[in-house]
Amino acid sequence: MLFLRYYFWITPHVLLGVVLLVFLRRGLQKHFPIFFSYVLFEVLQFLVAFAIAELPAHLLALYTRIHICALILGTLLKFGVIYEISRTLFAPGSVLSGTLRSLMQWISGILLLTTSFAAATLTGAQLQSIRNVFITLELSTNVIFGGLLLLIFLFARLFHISWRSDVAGIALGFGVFAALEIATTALRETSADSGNIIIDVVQMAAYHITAVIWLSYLLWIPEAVKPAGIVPQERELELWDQELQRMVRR
Amino acid sequence: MIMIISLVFAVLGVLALTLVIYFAKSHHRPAPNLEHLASRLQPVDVEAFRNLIDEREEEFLRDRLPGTEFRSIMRERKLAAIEYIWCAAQNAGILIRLGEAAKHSPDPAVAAAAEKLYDNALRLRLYAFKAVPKLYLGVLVPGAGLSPCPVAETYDTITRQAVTLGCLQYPHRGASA
Repeated sequence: MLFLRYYFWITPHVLLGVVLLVFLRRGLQKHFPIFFSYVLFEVLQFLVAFAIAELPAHLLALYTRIHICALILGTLLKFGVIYEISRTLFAPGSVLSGTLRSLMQWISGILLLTTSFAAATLTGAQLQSIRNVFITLELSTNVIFGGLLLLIFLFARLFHISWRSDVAGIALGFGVFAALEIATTALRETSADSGNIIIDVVQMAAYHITAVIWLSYLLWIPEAVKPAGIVPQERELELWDQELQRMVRR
Repeated sequence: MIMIISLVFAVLGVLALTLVIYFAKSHHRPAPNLEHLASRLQPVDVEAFRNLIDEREEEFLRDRLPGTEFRSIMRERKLAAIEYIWCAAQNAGILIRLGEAAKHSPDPAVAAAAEKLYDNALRLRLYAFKAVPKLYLGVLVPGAGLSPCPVAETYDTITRQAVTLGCLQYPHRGASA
């Protein structure tokens, strides 16, 4: 089990290092600056955590403080990535962006309220314990994060928006990770110590899968297949558009 | 209670995972042929649709039919109107894909025309999605003050959408209704 934990702790971050290199080589950091910052932050956080993991027990408080700061910063960056994905798929000022933005605000508010209530019930409203604070925070942010990602997926599907491979990979990776975190975090409260170790390993494995997805989409997954056949001609398009314009303007 | 909440979150997580994978899989689905897509545009019987959403028609029926019968007929009329709107939304979905395919044309005129078509088809589909829940509400509560301003306006716009989409299948012939 110890080997597995070390494997799942180290390997995803090595893969994230490769993701960073691919990003830099292709200049993708200009298109996805927040995602790039997130990956960089995760790698740096790992390096710091790895370095201080061997510190004596009385310095545990230092580790906890660093972990809390990392959790907050990481969460902010993750929500920044949501903004980046939605901005890439639905250009600001486009027909759908306004509707999506207001839907996201509503969904975030509803999820925040329901999850906070559920998480408080789950932890017995005893936030004195640092562990309970972590569970509440992780659960709430992951539910909101997962909900927003699903909304973007749903919106893109309803409106037949095509995804670029890199964006699809980022969203899929985060989606898988958030879903598995939601499924496992709440179980911590009902698990014994041995169960918590298994949950730890599952969550680390989920992160490993996420890193593999990001790298695969960057390196091997081709762009979505474009429709075959004869592209409509200008006259045909203009006629259709005139009709549509007449229809959507009042 | 704690066990139930934990299990609810676990189920939600698994459900979310399934949905994410399902949505991601559609990214790799083979794209349909453009001519086949265009052939799937469905004509809309505009006159019938116009009749279904005509407020004067509704008033006429209200005056002449007993309450129960009126409500039953209104429900059926609204369900039929929803069918028409779905048809319009499907046509818009096809136009989105056709517009997107043509957006990348090397001919700038075609690309510009496609861009406009794409935007307007998105707007139309969005409009249809907003209108349908209101209509379903109208099915549940027939004549419960839903027809004034916003819904009536929606009806009116959707009528014009249907007119437009009715002639999309044969753009060279003009409107079919």
